[in-house]
This record gives sequence, C-alpha cells and structure tokens, in this order.
Amino acid sequence: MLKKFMALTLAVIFVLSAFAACSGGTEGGNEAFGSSGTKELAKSGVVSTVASEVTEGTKKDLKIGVVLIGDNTETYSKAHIDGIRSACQNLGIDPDNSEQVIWKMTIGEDAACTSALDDLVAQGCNLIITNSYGHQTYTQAAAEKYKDKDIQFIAMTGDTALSSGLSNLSNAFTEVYQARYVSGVVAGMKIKELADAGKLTDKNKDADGNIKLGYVGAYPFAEVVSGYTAFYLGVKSVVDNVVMDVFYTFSWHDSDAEAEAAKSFISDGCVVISQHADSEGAPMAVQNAYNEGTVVYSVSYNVDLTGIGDAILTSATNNWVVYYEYAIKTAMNGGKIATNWIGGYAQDAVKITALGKQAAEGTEAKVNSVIADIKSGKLHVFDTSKFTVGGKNVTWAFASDTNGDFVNDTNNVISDGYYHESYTQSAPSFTLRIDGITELNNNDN
Amino acid sequence: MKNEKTREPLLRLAKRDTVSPARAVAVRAAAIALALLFCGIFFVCVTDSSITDVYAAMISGTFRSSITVNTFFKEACMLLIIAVGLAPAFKMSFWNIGAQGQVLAGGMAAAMWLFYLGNNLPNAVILPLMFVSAAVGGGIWALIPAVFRVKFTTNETLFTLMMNYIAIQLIKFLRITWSPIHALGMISRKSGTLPALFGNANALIYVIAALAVILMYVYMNKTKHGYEISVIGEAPNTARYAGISEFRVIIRTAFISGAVCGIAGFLYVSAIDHTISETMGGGYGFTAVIVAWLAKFNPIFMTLISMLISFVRTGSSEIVSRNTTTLDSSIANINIGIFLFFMLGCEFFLNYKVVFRGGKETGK
Repeated sequence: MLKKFMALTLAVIFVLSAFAACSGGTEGGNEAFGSSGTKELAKSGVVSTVASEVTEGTKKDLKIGVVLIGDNTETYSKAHIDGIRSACQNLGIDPDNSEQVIWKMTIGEDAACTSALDDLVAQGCNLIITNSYGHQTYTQAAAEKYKDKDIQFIAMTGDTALSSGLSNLSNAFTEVYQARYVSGVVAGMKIKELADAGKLTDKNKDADGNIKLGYVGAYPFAEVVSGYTAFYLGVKSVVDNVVMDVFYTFSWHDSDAEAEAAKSFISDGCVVISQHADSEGAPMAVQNAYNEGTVVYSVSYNVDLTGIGDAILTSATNNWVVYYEYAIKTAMNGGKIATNWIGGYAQDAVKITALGKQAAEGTEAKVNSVIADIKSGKLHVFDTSKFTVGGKNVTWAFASDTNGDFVNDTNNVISDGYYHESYTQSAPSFTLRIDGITELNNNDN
Repeated sequence: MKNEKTREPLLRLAKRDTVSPARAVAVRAAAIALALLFCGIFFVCVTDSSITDVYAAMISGTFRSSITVNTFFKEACMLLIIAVGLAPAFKMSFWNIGAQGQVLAGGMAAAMWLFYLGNNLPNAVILPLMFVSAAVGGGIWALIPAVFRVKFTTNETLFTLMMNYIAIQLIKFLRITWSPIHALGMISRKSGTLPALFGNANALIYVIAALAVILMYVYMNKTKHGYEISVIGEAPNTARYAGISEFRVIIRTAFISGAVCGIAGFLYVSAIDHTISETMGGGYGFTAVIVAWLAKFNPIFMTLISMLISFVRTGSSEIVSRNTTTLDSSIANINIGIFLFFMLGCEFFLNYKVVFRGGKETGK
C-alpha cells in the first residue's frame, strides 16, 4: 500500500509540475482582424476623432480595474502598464493604491479573464480595461452581463465594440503603422548608406538585384500585415530596390522561434530584420551575427533595445499614455469613452525610440521631415501609387468584416489616392498582400 | 525481519496501528488549522498586513458580495464534481489521474454541438445532446486506458496521464481549426448556455454537483456495483474467486468515472468558459485527485475539502487584488499547495510513524 501511495503521490507531483509548466506560458496578444464597422460609418468618414475634448457628465470617483495578458517582464504589457501608470499620475490617481487601481496581471485569454473581470466588478471598479485582443470576447460578455451597472469596459486593440451595440464597451488602437513606416525610413537610410559605401554583396541581393529584408511576424492578422507593409514601404521610400520575406512564428512571444527565424534570414543575406513579436529573440540574434562581422541590423518593436548593441537601429512603439489619459479623464468626468478611438503621430500616440549609434548620417533630419509630412497629411503611408498588388495599382479594397466570416465586406476605403487605415474601426484592417513582400509560411492565404 | 548485521537507521517509518476515529478527526482538524495558519503567515511575509488583516481579507474576499459568493461555490462545486468522478475508480484501485483529460474530452464533445449547431437547435435539444456527448466523451477517455489495463496489464497511472496530453493537443488543434486566425474566444451562439435558475446563473452547477455527490454515494455504498468495486479494489483475488468479472467491472467503473469528469467539461463549456482551451478547469483534474484521496471517497469530506480549497483560492485572490503591484495571481496556487501539503502530510502521519533508532514499532 505504501508503495502504491508513494507512486501515486510522486505521479501526482510529476503531473502537477508538468502541468504547471505547460499551462504557465500564455501567449500574449493584441492581434486584430476585421469585424464591426458599418456602411454609414464608411461614408461618413473616420470612426472617431481623437477626443482631446473630454466629454462631460457628473464627476465621479473612479476605481480602475486592469486585466493584462502579461506583466512587467513582457514588453507588450509593460508598455500598457507604463501608459496607465503615467496617465493615473497625471490625473492625480495613485496607481499603487488598490482602492484606486486594481491590477490583474498574467491573465490568459480564457475563462481566467472572466474570473478576473467578475472579481474587478465585485471590488467595485467602474472603469475596466483589458489589454489583449484575445480578451475581448470575455470583456464583451462581462459588459453585457453588467450593463445595468455604471461600469465602462475597454477592450484594447479589439474590434467588436461597435457591432456589439453595447454602450458600455469601447475599443482603442493607435496608428502604430505610421511609426513602423518611420522605422522603415530609418532602415532605408542605413541600407542606402551601406549600398553607397559598397558594403553590400551579391549575397544581400536577390537574382534581380533587389536588397533583401526579413520580418518576423507573430500571426497573419491585419495588425501584423498592416505593420510589415508599412515598414516595407518606409524602407522603399528611401531605397526603391528592396524585397522582404515574412516569417510567422504563430506566437506573440516565443524567443527561440523569433531567434531562429532571424538566424535564417541572416544566413539568407537579409540586411535589416524587423519584427512584430514581443521578445528580444530576433534582435539578440542580429546583434550576435553583427558581432561576428555580418552586415545586418535590427529594427524592433515596443521598447528601446539599443542597449543590446550597435546593430539595433530603433524600435517602433506606442505611446499609450495618450489614450489612457483620455479614457480615464473622460470616465472621471462622467463622460462616455469613444467607442472606437484612434491616434497616431498627430496625437503623439505613436513614436520611434531613440536612434542607435549606427543609424546613418542625416537619419534624424529625414525622420523629422517624414513625421512632419505624416502629421500634416501630406504623406500617407498606404499611398496606392507607391505599391502594387499582382503588378497592378489598387483602387478598391474592403476595410472590414461586418458579419464575422473573416472576409472583409464593407465599402471601399481607397480614396484620394491612399488606403484609409483604421477607418471604420480603430483596429487595423489592411490585409492587401503587396508586391515585393513574400510570406514564407502562411497557409491561410 | 530485521537483519542483525546492518546498522539500524536513525529514522525509519513504521505502520501505525489503527488510529481511533476521534483522534483521526482531531489530527485532521489540527492539520487544516495549521495549513490555514501557514497560508496566513505566508501572506504576512509577502505583504505588509498583519495576520488578522490577512484572514479578514480572505473572508471578506469570499463573502463580500453575491458575485464572490457565487465564485466561491462555483469553484468548490467544479472541484467536487471531478473528485466525485474519481472516487469509484480510486476505490477500485484504478489510479485514474487522467481526470483533466476526461474533463477536456467532455468539454470538446459538448463544444462541438455548441460550435456547429448552437444557432440551429433550441436549448431543450442542444443542452441534453451536449450533456450526453460530454459524458460519453469523458467516459471513452477513461475507457481506453481501462481496456488496455485489463487486456494487456498496462499501467493505468501512466496511461491516463498520457491521455491528458492527447486531449490538450486535440484542443489546440480544434482551436486553430475553429479560428483560422488563432483567436478563438468565447463561442457565442444563440443557444447552448445553461439557463439561470432563480435568477442565479450558477444554480444548475450547484444542483448537478449535489446530485453527483448523492448519486455516487448511493452507487458506491448501496448497490451491487459498488460492492463489486470495493472487492476488486481491496482483494482482487477474492473477487476472482467470487466470480466477479474483473474485466466488466473495471471497464464499467472507468467509464462512469470518466463520464462524471466529462460532465464537468460540459459545465465548463455550457456555463463557465463558453469555449474550449487547454486551461479549461484550471488544473482541477489534478487537484481533484488529492481531494478524492484525502476524503477517502467520503462525500461529506470531499465537499468540505473542496470548499476549503475554494476558500483558499478566493481568499488568496483577494489578497492579491489588494497588493497587485507586488503579487500576482499564481499566489493562489502557492497557497493551495501549502494547504494540500499539510493535508497529505497529515494523512501520511496518521498511517505511519517515525521511529527513532532503538524505538519500538508498535504501541501508541
């Protein structure tokens, strides 16, 4: 009996630890795909302007609940945490006082999200934020369940607030594709410098003499497609003869897979490798190759990684404090938070981080002029004269999916010579696969 | 049996004589008190609170509002249902540690109906279909290792364990199949949600848990099947001699065990998660193994232990909420670990005692 008991106990311990190990890692995520959006909106123009003017109602005491896919150790969630903390401090709320802000960290995109939301409601929170795209169905269900209570829910990066018809649910996203375009300009300047100095070899070029780029993407969603296309067009605005390969890791955070993808790009001769994934795997791999004398540079995402070394040129990033300050202030004033909020360079909601030491001469001036053009509306990232699909210029593209079949079906959002990104909803909608970019492993398209 | 040539070890374990029931209860109560004390001390160490604050917070976090009370009972009931499912298998000495996989298998079977026909069938049709499929799905998941055990004498502990991983991979596969963009959230359909009873969305979970406990108690203690289970569990040779078909009883019991776990999967899909994921059940399939074992399959003890574990969970969650900048949600698991450690330790020392060198093995 003792032996059986010990065997069982050991087996249980083994099982528990194995299970803890495999259930511990949750995939962070903020992907976006088409949904919601209405024809009226498509006709009427941009979904929601950035409400710098905060709507007024009866002022009230706010208790904020925050549900995060990760924690301070993961760049995506850290950016949100920093944004919320700064916004709170700017508005006189103490983010460390659990009577004012309750943080729920490392909450997966599963029933744990429902439990966390229930608990926040039970604790009396009246502004509840979830930060991952995969949280949104749970957030929406909670908004439905508690619609009689005076609580506003925000599903960050989500896309169903409008179609849900719930007045207590909002979505928000930044126009981070603008920052990706600018980070592409930084990469383009470097490539131009390398080409002019004769440092690029045949290995760095394809059979037609185009210079090779690599991009490590998380998933083949609109958010990622929009991002890498913007990056590519940014590079192309400086150096015309470039081609780019995209490799998907099917995870938001998989250090090993991202590093492996980067190594494969490096051995293939890619000169700049960028990413839409949340680990430092790819930049580290690039830096290691750089240290061994390979001509390769990295443009990263979310946070400043220039500390890794000289191979890091810059990162595209969101400045979440802009939105969080808007949303919290609106809620404090008893107003209604915009159902779809969007903000880009014009609102200071996106930016690139400090330039690395190896950034080319004149990059800073070039970057500033590009940003000024984006702000003034002179430059549009998805300018249809700058790219082709199947060899042709595009004049028609659907923006979003209104019936949930993952096929975009709202009105044409190409007008005035450019694709209107984030037009019928705050989440990105750009899913055109443009010439010059090759998806290496997307089986869905 | 003592070998005179070898040196007697400083410490050794000896089987205890039977402990009187009153004493056993007292020891267990003391272990629970100690476990709660350690949970409290642990929190005092990681937060700035005093021990009374910690307990006050744990109690208020559990009983503050109808939401928290419902969460507390819901978690306890789910743990209890799975533990009840494991009880007959354990009593038969069939070491089913595949409850997690059986919950997932049941959940998958239920979710299939929900996903494909949730908009086409009314609740009165789809819920019974989901219920029965979940029970059959969970049952089959336990049946497979049972067949291998009686046919090929494979080790059911390892076999049921491995079945968990198969279920997890199948869930991953289904999630990608159902959401090509890798973002399956709640499966929102017109029907397939367990209706509320008396305005309480969890009420049917409580009813099913209560029924499961009562029916299983009757089955195990008042029926011929229950008798056969205990004979095979305690004396397989006697069972053979008495003409009890080991094959039939093991197969039947494993199926029932898995089916009850499958029903837990049905509840997760229809009432709690409204989707499938690898994390469905939050690992209760494993916690329930310990609950069933500790309670010696006694339904009252299983209920009490489930409620205690649920209390530790909701109470810990409250402490985390009050210290969110320094603690995270995994603290609840540490506390449940502390709790189970004391419980298992207590059972061990009720059965065995430590004998020092030169000590006597018998006597109190």
